[in-house]
This record gives sequence, structure tokens and C-alpha cells, in this order.
Amino acid sequence: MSQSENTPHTSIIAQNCEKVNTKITSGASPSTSWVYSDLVKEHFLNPCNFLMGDEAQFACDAIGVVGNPVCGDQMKMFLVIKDGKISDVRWKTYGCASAIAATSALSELIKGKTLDEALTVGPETITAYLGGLPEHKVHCSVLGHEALAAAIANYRKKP
Amino acid sequence: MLEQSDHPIYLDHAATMPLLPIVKQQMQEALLADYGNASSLHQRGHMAHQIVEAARSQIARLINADPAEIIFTSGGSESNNTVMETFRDRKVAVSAIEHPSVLESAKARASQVTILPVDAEGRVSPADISPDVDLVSVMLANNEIGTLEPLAAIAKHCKKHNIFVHTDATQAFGKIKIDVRTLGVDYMTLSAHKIGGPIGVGVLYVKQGSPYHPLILGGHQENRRRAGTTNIIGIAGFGAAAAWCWDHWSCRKWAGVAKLRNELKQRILQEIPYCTCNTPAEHSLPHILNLSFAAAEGESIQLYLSEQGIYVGTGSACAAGDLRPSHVIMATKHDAEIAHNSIRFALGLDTTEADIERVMQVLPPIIARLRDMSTIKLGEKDVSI
Ligand SMILES: Cc1ncc(COP(=O)(O)O)c(C=O)c1O
Ligand code: FES
Repeated sequence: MSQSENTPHTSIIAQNCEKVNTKITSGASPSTSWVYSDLVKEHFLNPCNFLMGDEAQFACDAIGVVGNPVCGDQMKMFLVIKDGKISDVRWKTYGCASAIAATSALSELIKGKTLDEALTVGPETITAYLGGLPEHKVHCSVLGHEALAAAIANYRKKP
Repeated sequence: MLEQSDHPIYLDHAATMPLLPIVKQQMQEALLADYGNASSLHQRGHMAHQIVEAARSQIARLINADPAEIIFTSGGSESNNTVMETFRDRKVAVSAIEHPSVLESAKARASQVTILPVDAEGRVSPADISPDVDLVSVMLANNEIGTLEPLAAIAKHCKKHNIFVHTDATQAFGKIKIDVRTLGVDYMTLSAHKIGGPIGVGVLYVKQGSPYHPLILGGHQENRRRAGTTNIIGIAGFGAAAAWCWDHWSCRKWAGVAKLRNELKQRILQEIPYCTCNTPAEHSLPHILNLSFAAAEGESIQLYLSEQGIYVGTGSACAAGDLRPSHVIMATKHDAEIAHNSIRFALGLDTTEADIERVMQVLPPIIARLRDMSTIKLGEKDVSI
């Protein structure tokens, strides 16, 4: 059962997420000043769905956390699940630009999906959606997928 | 809230310095003059030879060396590798916070490498040096946190035990007064691009009579100490940069930068909670300030700042090609999070009060935003200033 309707957080989705999503057709155009694609840059500078402020204030049905600050990255996914579908999602990420962008992208990709559908959104899907990531940054998108999988596993474990 | 800057603010002078105008000019002149091979005996060769020898003298006087003790190389990395080549299969001790071109070349060549520990400020203690090593290599100033090492005391200790001493002075050169005689070192590494000269040219000072084995063989250049047709344009630029430092009392100018650096430090510590300063209060280069912002990862801070036209460095693993956190912060603070969250501001001679003001307009909201996004809760871990 969703508890999210009455929380103040339903309105904090970043304004320009739709704009971002209309640009996915051609992927990255090489940018001279950034090592990342334009879409990574967009999602990093204007991330969608991140959980602002105290996470205890956000009512959700499942939480998944992976990574370790000691390794330089940690991700936490907060899912609101309604009728077997992800009706809302928030996240927190400690990490680099591609980690932030990957979580932001993932949060957009899974909204409205059933849990099984959401689980098919793997690192490749996230990376492709972002127009590619530098090779040594691909692991940051893996982490996003793992956080989601952990959240869903936690939800399914619930009695 | 965050406004695009009108002009970029370069605070990464420890990575490389922009070319000085006089350097550009003299390199252009050298380019336009149809110089020959500095080794050729004809007139054009002689012209090239003169450019190189003038530069050699200009660099030598800045560190109180004899020109004959100056060997031109392709940069600081080659100079450091050359020292380690000389001590191949010998016992070498290096500080834990050396540049990778010292650490890795020592490990690749020495029969035994001792890593000298450093204190929380990054300083080596001469007492930690074992008498049975052949070479000690400790940098004059650290490139990430700016620590000045007690080189004279280290060299004095080493001389007692007949240990040769190398110092990588790449960062200190031009910023603080250097005298190879009073320091008592046998080898010193310098690089042109950290003083406003071109990238790709450096120097190894080798004290007369100290052991030496070339790294690059196959030519008589540099008195048989470094093979390869002489890089005249680069050396002309290095000479011009060194002459500029000498003529303008560069060390005095750099000492003046400490005021702005200290102001930046004070303001950040006052206006942004949960910060750690990684640069020593005393014993540091005047222009480097390294700080860590709890819960905010360095690459993200760096890129948000870059988007606002402010360019800085970071010790975060995420920004490193090998995804390893800064070995310097690990050796001083022993804390991976502090390393991941570290930002290095390296001011320049042209940094202004207004630049500091802009940093202080832009930085606090960036840190606040990244902390808001972060999984790490502030105050959960003890973060001391
Ligand atoms: C302390 C130190 N040593 C050596 C180097 C390498 O110098 P270069 O870039 O000339 O090879 C640098 C700069 O990158 C440095 O900061
Ligand atoms: S979070 Fe560290 S490399 Fe992406």
C-alpha cells in the first residue's frame, strides 16, 4: 500500500526531467569540456527524483542500499509501490557525476513499471540511455541497478 | 542561486601553470629563428647551443647550482625516473606522499623500497630513516596538500650515514627560495610547466661527484648524461620562465598569495560546516589549500564548480584513472572518505579577492546540494577541523 500521497515530497521532482527524456534519441554529442556525454551532464547537474532532505520524512514501501562510502560510492533507492507497480521513486547517492546521473536516469526509467519490468533495467540500459559512460565509470551504473534490486528484494521479503 | 561566471577562475596552478607571456614570446622567437641542431658545429647549431646554455645558467642560479650540474630532461617524471635508474638494485627510502613518478619508479628499480611514514600534516621525520639505505627521496613540497618537508634536517641526517639525498622540488621551485648547497641534497627534480614554462621539459640537478647513470642512452647530448636531440624550443621556454622568476623575485610574490589562501580557508571553515583542512597551517606552500567536505564526493564538487567556471583539483578515487583515493590523504588522514571528499585549490599570482568572493558565493550551495543528495548523514562520523 502506498503511503506517499500525503507526503510533501511528491512535488520535488526536478523541473526539467521531461526535457532530458526527449533528448535520448541520439545519445551523446561529444562535448569538448566534459568527459561525460551531454545527457550525463544534464542528469548530473539537474538530477530527477532525488530525495531532498531527511529521508525519514519520505514514506515509502521499500528501501535498498548498496555500496560503501569508503569505496567512494553509495546508493539508496526508495520505492513507492502501488498495485505491483512502482508509482514513485526517490534516491540518494554519494558518488561521482556518473553515479548521480545513473541513479537519476534509472529513477526515470523505472517509474510506472512493474517490479519485474523494473528489474530488467540493467546497467546496459542505463548506460545506453545516458549515451554512454567512460569505461571506468560503467560500474557506477551497476550500482544503481543493484540498489534497485536490493529494494525490490527487500519488498518481496516483507510478510 | 548559481550564476554562470563572466570569466573562468583557474585554481589548479599545482596541476599546471598557464604560460607566462614572456615565455610565449621567447619560445616564438626561438621557433621563428631558424635554429639548427644544438650539437652541430655550424653557425645555426651554435645559435641553438647558446639558447640552451643561457637557459641552463638561468635555471642554475635560481637554485644556486653550477650550470654543469643541470641536466635537461622531458619533465619532472623523467628526472625522478633517472634518479631511480641510478639507484637500480640499491636500497631506497621514499616518503609515503611522493609523486607516483618517484614511488613507482623506485618500486620498479630498487632492490628494496622503504616507505617513510608521515605525520598528519604530511611531514617526514629524519629519525625514521634507517642508516642502511643508499638513497632517500623526499619531496621539497607536496603537490596535493602543499606540505613543506624538513629537507635540510633530512639531508643532515643522511650525510651522517653517507646516504644520498634526492628531492622532487617540482612544486616548490619558484615558489620558495631554494639553495641546493644549504639544503645539502645530491639530486633535485624541477619541471618547467609548474613555473609558467612549457609542458614537456624538466631538469635534474646532479651535484658534482654524485653517482649518475643515464636513463636514456644513445647520444652524447647533455654531456653524455641524457641522449636525444636537444629540445631547444622547450628549453628556451624553461629558461625564460626561470629568468622571469629571478627578475621578479617570484618567491616574494608567491609568499603574498598566502594571504588570499588563508582568507579562503577561514571563510570556508566558517561558512561551510563539517570541513576538514588537509593542508598544514604552517610548513606549507603559500598557494595550496586542500580541504574535505564531509558527505560530498570530490569529483562531483569539482564538476559542479567547473560548470560555474571554477577549476580545482580533487583527491577522490572517482576522479582518478585507477579509481584509487589519494595516497597522500590516505597517508596523512588514514581515511578514505576524507580522500574522496577532498578538493585542492591552488591559487595563482593573478588570483584576486574577487575570485575568492566568487568561490564563496558558488561553493556553499554546491556543497549543500551534494550533501542533500548524499546517502551519508552529516555528523554521524566524527569530523574534526
Ligand atoms: C611533485 C611532482 N613531481 C613530479 C611531477 C611530474 O612532472 P612532469 O609533469 O613535468 O613530468 C609533478 C607534476 O605533475 C609533481 O607535482
Ligand atoms: S562513484 Fe566513484 S567512480 Fe562513480
